[in-house]
Amino acid sequence: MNQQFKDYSQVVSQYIGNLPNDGGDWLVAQRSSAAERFTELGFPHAKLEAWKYTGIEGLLKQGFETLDKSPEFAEHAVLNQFLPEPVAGRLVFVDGVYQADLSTCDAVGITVGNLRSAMAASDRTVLEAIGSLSGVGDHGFAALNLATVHDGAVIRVAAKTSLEQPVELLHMATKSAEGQALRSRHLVMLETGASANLIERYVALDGVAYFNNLVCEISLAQGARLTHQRVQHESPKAYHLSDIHLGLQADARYHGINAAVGAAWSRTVIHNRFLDRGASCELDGIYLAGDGQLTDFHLDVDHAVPHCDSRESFKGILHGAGKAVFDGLIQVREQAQKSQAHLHNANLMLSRQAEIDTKPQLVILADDVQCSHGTTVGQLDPQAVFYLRSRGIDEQLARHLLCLGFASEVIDRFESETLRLQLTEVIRQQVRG
Amino acid sequence: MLTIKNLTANVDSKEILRGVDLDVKAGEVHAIMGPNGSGKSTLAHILSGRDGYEVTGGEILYKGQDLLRLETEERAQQGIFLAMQYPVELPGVNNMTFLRESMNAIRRSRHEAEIDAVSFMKLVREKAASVKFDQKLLKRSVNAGFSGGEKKRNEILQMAMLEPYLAILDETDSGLDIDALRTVADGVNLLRSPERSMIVVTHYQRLLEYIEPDHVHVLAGGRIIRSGGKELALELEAKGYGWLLEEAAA
Amino acid sequence: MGLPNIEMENFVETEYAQGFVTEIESDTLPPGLDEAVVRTISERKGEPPWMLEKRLTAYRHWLTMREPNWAEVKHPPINFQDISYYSSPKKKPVLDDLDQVDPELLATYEKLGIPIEEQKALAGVAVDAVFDSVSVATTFRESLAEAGVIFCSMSEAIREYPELVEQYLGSVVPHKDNFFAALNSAVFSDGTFVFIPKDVKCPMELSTYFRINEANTGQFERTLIIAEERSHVSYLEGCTAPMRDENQLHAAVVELVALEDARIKYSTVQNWYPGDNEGRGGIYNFVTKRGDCRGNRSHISWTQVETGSAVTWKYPSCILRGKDTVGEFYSVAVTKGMQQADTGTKMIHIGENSRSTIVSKGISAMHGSNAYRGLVRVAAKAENARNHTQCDSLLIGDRCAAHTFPYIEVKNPTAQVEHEATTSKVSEDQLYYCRQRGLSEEDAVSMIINGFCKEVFNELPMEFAVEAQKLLAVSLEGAVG
Repeated sequence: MNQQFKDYSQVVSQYIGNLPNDGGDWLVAQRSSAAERFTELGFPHAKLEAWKYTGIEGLLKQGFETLDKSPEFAEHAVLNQFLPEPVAGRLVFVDGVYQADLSTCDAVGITVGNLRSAMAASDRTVLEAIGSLSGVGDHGFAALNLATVHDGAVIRVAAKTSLEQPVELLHMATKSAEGQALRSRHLVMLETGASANLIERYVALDGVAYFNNLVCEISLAQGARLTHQRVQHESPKAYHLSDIHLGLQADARYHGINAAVGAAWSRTVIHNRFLDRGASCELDGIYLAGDGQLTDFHLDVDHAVPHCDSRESFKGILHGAGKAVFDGLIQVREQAQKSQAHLHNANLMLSRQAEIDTKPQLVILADDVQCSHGTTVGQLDPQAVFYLRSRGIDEQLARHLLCLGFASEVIDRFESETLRLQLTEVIRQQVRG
Repeated sequence: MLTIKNLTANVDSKEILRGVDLDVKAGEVHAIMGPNGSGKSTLAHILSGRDGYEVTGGEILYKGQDLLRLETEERAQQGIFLAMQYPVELPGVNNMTFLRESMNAIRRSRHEAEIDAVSFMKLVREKAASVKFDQKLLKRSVNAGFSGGEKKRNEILQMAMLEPYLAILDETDSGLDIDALRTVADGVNLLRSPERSMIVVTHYQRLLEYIEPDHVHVLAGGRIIRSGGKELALELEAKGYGWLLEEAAA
Repeated sequence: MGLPNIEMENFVETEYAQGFVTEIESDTLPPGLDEAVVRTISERKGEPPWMLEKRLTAYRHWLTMREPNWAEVKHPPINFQDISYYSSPKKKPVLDDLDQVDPELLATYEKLGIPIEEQKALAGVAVDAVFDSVSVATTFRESLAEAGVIFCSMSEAIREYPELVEQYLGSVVPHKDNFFAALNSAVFSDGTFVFIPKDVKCPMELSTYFRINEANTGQFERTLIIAEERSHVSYLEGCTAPMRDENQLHAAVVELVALEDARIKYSTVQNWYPGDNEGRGGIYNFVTKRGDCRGNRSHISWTQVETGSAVTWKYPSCILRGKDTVGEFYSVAVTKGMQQADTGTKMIHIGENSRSTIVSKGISAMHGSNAYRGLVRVAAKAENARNHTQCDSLLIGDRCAAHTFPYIEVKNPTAQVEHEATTSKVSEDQLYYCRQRGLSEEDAVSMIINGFCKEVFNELPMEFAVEAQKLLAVSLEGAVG
C-alpha cells in the first residue's frame, strides 16, 4: 500500500466522521462498509483487466480533495446553459451542490429532488435504493463515492405517467471547483409503465481542474421506458468518472445516447442488468479524444434472464495526441436463452499520435442466442475526400464534413435539437483533421 | 397419392387447422388458396413433418401409409418435396455437395446405387439450364447471399434433381418478378407427369396463370371452404376472398 | 468437392480412437524437478555446455515465475514435482535406419495411421515421429538432404548443427516469455528441427507426429523452423496420447523464423486425449507458438484443428517485423465433454504494409468451453497495416460456453483493423431444410458444421483436410442432439 493511498484512506475516514448523520444508522452502515471496501480495493491499477489501458497516475497526482463548500457563481451564467427547449423538470447542481432555486418541476406524476434532502427526511425508498444496483462498489472510486456521498439527484416517475417533455439534469462546474473531488450520486426510478426522457449534462464555466466521481443508479420497473441523453462536456482540465447502473424489469426499455467530448480524462462505465424477461437496452455513444485527452467507455451488459435484447453502437474520433479506450462486454448467462445482443464499435484515427485500444467481449453460456460484435479502426476514405475536393471543397472542410458524417449516425439519435447542434459544433471546432 | 382426412392441428397451443379434407390423385395439380393466416403454410409444413406443429386429430395417408408416423427425412426419401417459402441459408455448405448428398441419401434409402460424380455433374448442369439457374451459383454455399429469385430457382432446381412424387410449393411465387415467376412455372410444368402430384400453395391467382391446376381449394379459418376447378381461381381474382368468407360464415 | 461422403461406420466408433497404450520398455526419470534433473536431461542427450547453460538459466528464471491464471480455463493445480521430465523408449543410441526402430513402436505408428516406413509413406510427406520425449524416426532424410533441407530431431540438431541452433533457439520465444515457455526451455527433451536454405522450395510436406505413451510424464517438445531467404516450407504436426485417468502436461514451444521472402505454413491437427465425458484424465496442452516474419515480404501462416486435450492454452502468433509481411491464423477448436480451450493468436504489426488475417471457428458442445483470445497490435511505425479478424462460435446444447476476447491496440493512423464475431447455434430451420431434402439429422449437423469450418479446412494441405473433417465428425459424434 503506497503512502498516497494511506493518506487518502485517513482523509476519507475523517471526512466520513464529520458528515452529518442525515440518513440515520442505515446510511452510516453503508458508508462504513464502503470505506472498508475502499481500503480493501485501493485505487485501480493497470494490472486489473478493466483498468489495463486507463491509467490514473495523472488523476492521483492532482491530489483532488473532497470538500463540502458552497460554490460562488453568477446566476445568469448558469441560466445561459439551460436548454432552450421546454422541460418537465430541471435539477441543477453547481460544483456538486444542489441549487434548489434554479431547479423546477411542474409536471404531474414526477418528483424531482436532491439526495441530501431525501436523506435528511430519512426517505426510506431513497435510502434503500442507494447501492441497490451498484452494490458497495466494484472499484476504489465507486466505493469512495458511496462512502463520502453528500448529494445528488433523485428523480421518480409514478406508475403509468408518460412525460412529454424531457427532464434536465444539469451539472455545472465553476472556478471554485478547482482542486475538488465532487462525488454525486443520482437515483432515477421509473415505476411500472412510466415513461420519461432524461437529459443529463456535465458542463464547465471555467477551464479548471476538478474530479467528478459519479455513480448513477437507474431502475426501470415493469414496462417502463426511459430515453437517456447524456453529454459529458467537462472542462478541458477536468477528470470525469461515471458509473451508471441500470436495472431493467420485465418489458422495460432503456435507450441511452452518450457523448463524451470534454475532460482531460474521462471514463464512463455502463452496467446493464436485465432483471426479467422482455426488456431491451440500447446504448449509443460518440467519443472524441484529442491532445492530452483520454476517453474511455466500458460497457457491461449482463443478460441474466431469457428473452432480452441489447444493442450497442459506439463511435470514436481520435485526433491530435488523443487516446481512447473502449471495452464492450456482453454476457449471456446459462438460463438466458433467446437473448439477442449486437455490439459495434467504430474508430476513426485522424492523427499520427493518436491511440485506440478497443476490446469487445462476448461471454456466452447459453446456446439459443444471437450475439455478435464488430470493431473497426480506420481512416477517412481517401476517395471520399477526393470526391469532395473534386466538387470544390477544400481538404480541411472535406475532412470535417466526413468526420461529421461519421459521427452523425450517433448524434442524430439525440432527440434534443440543441444537443445535436452543440455536439456538431464541438466536433467542428475540436477535431483537427 | 395423398389423402387428408379431417386434419386438425395446433401451433403453440393455438388451433390453426380445424378439419381439413383433401384427396390428391397421381398426376393431379391442386392449388390451395386462401387469405393470410388461413393455415396454408401450416398444412405444407405438416405434410413435410416440421417440428412444432401438433396434429390433434385426423389422418394423412400417403401412398396408402400413415404419413404422420414418418420422420421428415423419411418423407423426403419417399418422395415428398417441399419448395419452401423462405429457403434456408447454409453458409459454407457447397450447393452441389448438398444436392449430391440429398440425392444419394434418397437413393440409399431406396437401395439404389449412388450417383457417380460424372453423371451427377452432367445431370446438374442439364437441370440447372432447364430451370435457368445460374451455373456459378452451383459452386456457392446453399442460398447464402442469393437474391430472393435465385433462392426460389434453387428450390425448383432441387425439385428437378430429386424428382419427387409429391411436390408441395409453398408460396413459391411470393417476392418474384414476372420473369422469375415464368421461369419457376416453366420448371414446374416440365415436371408435370402422370406419376407426379403437386400441391401449389399460393395467395394470388397470378401463379396459376402459368401452372394450370386441376383443382382449386380455398382454405380459410383452418378449413377448406370451397373447392372447384381452375375457374374458381379466376373468380377469386375478380371478387377477392370476402364473399366466400361471408358465405362460409352464413 | 469439399466434403467427403459421410460413412456411417466411422460414426459408430465414438470413443477416442487413439487411446491405446503401447507396451514398450522405456527409460524414465523419476518424477520431480530440480537442477540435477535439468543436468541429467542435458547429459543423457549428450549436449554441449552452452545448451546446459541455456537450460539452467531458464530453470532459474522459471523458479521466480508464477503459473498464469488469466485464461478462461479451470483445472486443479499442477504439482510440477509429480511429473517425470524425461522418458525415452529403450533403444540403441543412434538410429541409422528404420530397421533399428523397435517393431512395437513402428506398430504403434501404424495403428495411428502414420506412415514412418518410407515404402508405405504418403507420397511427398516426410515424417518425424516423437514418442514420449524422444524423436524415434525421421523419414525421407536423404532426399531432403539433396535439396539442402535439414529435417531432424532437435537433439540431433544440437549435436550436428550447434551454430544454427545456438543462433536461433530462443530468439523468437525467449525463456522469460511465460511460465510454460520457461519450463520448456529448461527441460525440453526433443522435438523437430527444420532448416530450409536460401532459394529452396522444400520438395515435400514435412510432418511430425507426437505421441505421449508413458504415464506420469510430461512432454516438452521444442520445434524450430528456419526458412532462409526466398525459401518455402509446409509443415504439419499431429498429436495423440493414450487414455489415462490422470492428467498429463504437454508444454511445447514452437519457434518459426522467416527471412526475406520466405514462406512458412504450419498446420496442426491436435488430437491429444481429451479426458472422458466426466472430465477425468486428458492432456493439459499449454503451448507457446510464435513465428517471426523477420525479413521483408516474409509470410507465416498458422492453421490449427484442435479437437483434443482436456485444457488447451495456446496462441500461435506472428511478429510482423519486416515490411510487406503477412501473418495468418486459421483455427477450428472443438470442445465437448468437459474440455476447455482458450486459444487464439497475436498479430504484432511492426513493419510497414504488414497484413494479417485471423479466422477462428469455435465449436462448443456438451459442457465444453471455448474462448477466443486474440491481440492485434499496430505499432506506431507500422504504416498501412491491415488486419481482418473473423471469429465465429457455434454452440451445440445449452450447457456449453463460447467466449470472445479480442484486444485491439492501434497506434498508427493509417492502420485498418476490422474485427467481427458472431455466436449462434445450428438452427432448427437449417436442420429442417436438410432433412426435408432427405438427409438424416446426423448428416445434416455434420454438413452444417463442416460448412462452418470450411474457410479453415481450405487452408490445410489436401490429405489432412479430409483427415480433419473426419476427426471433427468423430469428435462431435454423440455430442449432437
